[in-house]
Amino acid sequence: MRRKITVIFLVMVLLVSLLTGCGSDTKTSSDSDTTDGNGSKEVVIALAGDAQSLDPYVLNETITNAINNHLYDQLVVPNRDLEIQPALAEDWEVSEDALTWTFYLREGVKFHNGNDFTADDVIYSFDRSLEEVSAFKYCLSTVESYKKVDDYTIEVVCNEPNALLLAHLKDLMILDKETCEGQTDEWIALNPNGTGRYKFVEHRRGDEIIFERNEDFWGESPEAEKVVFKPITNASTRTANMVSGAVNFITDVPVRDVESLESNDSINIITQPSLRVIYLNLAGWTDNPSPDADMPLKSPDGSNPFKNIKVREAIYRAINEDEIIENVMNGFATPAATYIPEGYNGYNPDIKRLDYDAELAEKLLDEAGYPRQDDGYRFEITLDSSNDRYINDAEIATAVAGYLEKVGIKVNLNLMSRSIFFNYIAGLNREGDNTHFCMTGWADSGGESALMGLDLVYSMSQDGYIKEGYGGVNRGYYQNPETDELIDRAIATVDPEERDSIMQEVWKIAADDISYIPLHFQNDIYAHDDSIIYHPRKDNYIYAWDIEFTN
Amino acid sequence: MFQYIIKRIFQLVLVLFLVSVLIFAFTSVMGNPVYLMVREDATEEEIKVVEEYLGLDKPIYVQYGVFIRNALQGDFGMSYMYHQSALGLIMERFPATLEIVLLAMFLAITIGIPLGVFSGAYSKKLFSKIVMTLSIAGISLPSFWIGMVMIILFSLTLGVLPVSGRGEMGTFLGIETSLATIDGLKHVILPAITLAIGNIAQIVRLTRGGMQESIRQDYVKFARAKGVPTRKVLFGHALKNTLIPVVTVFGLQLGSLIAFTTITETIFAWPGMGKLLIDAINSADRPIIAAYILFVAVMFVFINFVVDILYTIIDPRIDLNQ
Repeated sequence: MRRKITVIFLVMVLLVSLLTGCGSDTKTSSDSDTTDGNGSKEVVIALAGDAQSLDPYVLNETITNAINNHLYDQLVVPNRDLEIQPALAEDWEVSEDALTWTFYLREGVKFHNGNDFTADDVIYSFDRSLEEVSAFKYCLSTVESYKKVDDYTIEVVCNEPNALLLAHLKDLMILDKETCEGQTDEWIALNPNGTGRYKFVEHRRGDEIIFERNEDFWGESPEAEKVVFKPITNASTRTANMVSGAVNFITDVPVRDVESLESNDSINIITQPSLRVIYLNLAGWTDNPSPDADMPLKSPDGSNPFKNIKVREAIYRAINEDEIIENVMNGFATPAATYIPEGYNGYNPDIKRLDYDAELAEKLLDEAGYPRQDDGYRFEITLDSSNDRYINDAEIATAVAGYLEKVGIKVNLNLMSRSIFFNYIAGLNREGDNTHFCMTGWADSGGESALMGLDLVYSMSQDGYIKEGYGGVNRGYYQNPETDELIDRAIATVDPEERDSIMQEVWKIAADDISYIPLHFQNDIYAHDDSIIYHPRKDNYIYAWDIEFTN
Repeated sequence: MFQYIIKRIFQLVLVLFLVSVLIFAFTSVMGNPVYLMVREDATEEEIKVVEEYLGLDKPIYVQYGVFIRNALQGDFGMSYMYHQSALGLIMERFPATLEIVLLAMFLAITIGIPLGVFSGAYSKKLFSKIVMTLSIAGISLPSFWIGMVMIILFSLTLGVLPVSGRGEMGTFLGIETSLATIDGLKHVILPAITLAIGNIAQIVRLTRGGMQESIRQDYVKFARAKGVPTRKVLFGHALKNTLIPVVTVFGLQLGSLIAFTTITETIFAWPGMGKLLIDAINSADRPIIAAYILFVAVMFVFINFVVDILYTIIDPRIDLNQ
């Protein structure tokens, strides 16, 4: 018996070593069929998720949109720095009052199946964006009417001056009317036909999407001839794929893996501050905050402490953001003083973070009339936060609660999943007014300052909109006619530089009022191998044409 | 037999009814999918339109009625996220899950049963003790840990097998499958082993227990005394009489593997049903969750049915009508 075991053991050893031998073979061969081997330029990109639908209208979500942008074009597109560039619309004119827009379409553009692109396709796509199934109704929400002037001219009329129409039109991808008309939504999703840089080859849902270069593309041809997107939801698996060389590029690298990837000579890490700002909302413009909350705000005299700017400043100063970035975010975040990161329109360099100073915070709270009570606390609040939406969101919220406890504010931490969270905290009181203090993130994919202002700081009351559709995520009910007036003016201002300076003023006022407490901008982290060079975009959209080959 | 089948079908209907009520009760408190579909600052009007589009504006019992009516016609509705037929999406993913599960169960039988038989028949040998120790490890190690260790060992350190994905697919008997190509097989090995380890351990322990019992029975002693070859005694006589509990557990394992490969599929980015389910739960996509769970319920009833039939084949004394 013992001899038998020895024999079996030896056979096992032999088998394993054989397998290992095969292994090194397969590895070299898989390396060669990516880029350098047979001269065909192919890139394999691992994303954190799949395109949910190749119908560009049913879902508005970063990964789905970015993948669809490979197949379809829009009238205008943002470049890497998010400046609007002509695409299917070659040129456009705006009337003096910013009400009427005329778009001149590019001629000679063909869809992947050979159909010509004309004004009818644009009208069809606009119509579709307003249908029930569409997640893009907002794009034309300020548009009163649109019509075809001739085959290559479109006229769009807004119901109020709107200089930001382009920022919305950049989200609308153009479908072929002849292909799609009369087909079901499901059919359209399975048979994508656009004018974009890449043609659809195959989609094995959850496994990979394959595109090949559209050789008849109207603009500059991208370098990569074939693109494979692989949805890999588990972050560690993405990292392992990068290390093994099975993919050329991965997104959303977890901060804990950055060091080990960097130690690999053939892997490069790219990181840049994203547009997404993480901040705290506080209901400071109401006497009766969150009447429906499970754990309401409690202060000794029944007043709302957030109404006092000294309290807001104290909370701001009590939080040690540098420590959060270093310990919770592993250094992969950039401190925020305002909603707008450096380098974007509306960024105001005069807005500085208030320094961390716990002692001053305590003093401010005393002055505001909230001294420590017998139990050592000044008042009691609840911090609502998601735990699966932003990078390390639960840990950040926990840290914030800890800092506030130190200065004598009792904090109940209320963490929940995003499928409940956004509904719970909604400024529009969909399910009652639940939150007086919550942590959220926000980014405008176009980086358009005026749109951020419209969403985040435009006056909004506890009873609902003051101006319909404005201030939709102004969860603190910040009200200031001065900023409202400036934002209205910015939206009607066609000249970008003038708009920029108006918005700078808005952000300065909002920051001086401490209408919210900014924490940081999340960093986007990518990794790629040395066969390619990647030029990141500021909106975190991954495009194959931002990839350059090194040889 | 006929009577038995009728009884089973009646049970199936009852199970499906109860399950569908439970699904509706749970998914309705799970979070509202509408708010995940619209923009964060969507207006009331936008929300209302989406609610009407999904039929969520009606009271829950009306929604349930509509659901049952459509389900009886084989229509489980459109997925909220994908805007495609929920059942279609599940069926599209089913082959991928079946691949790893079948391979895992194949491994569980071919490794688990012989190991169990030998370690049961010679329970005092060192070999048997090693098998027992390993089987405890196999049962207690969580699959996400085994999966990651497998990736580190075989994909990163040794570089023998790919990290994740489904690999190249070939056509075998008209079915597209990863099992038909070398590259596909390489991709399928790690997830299948990860799934199999716990089951191998369980089957080893069950078989071993049964073998220890039956090896002491008179008929085994008699067969030995008669001079029947050891192999025949162990596999023909002793094993056959220990198979009933093994087959029962095997059936349950098969069902739960098909239904809940979620963790393994997520780690290996394997495009099966488990991953679809977890994505659907994260986005409160009720049509997919409902169709999925009903599908799983039907499958369990069916597997149990097959297991019952197998009983009569293994042990002719069993009569299903009693």
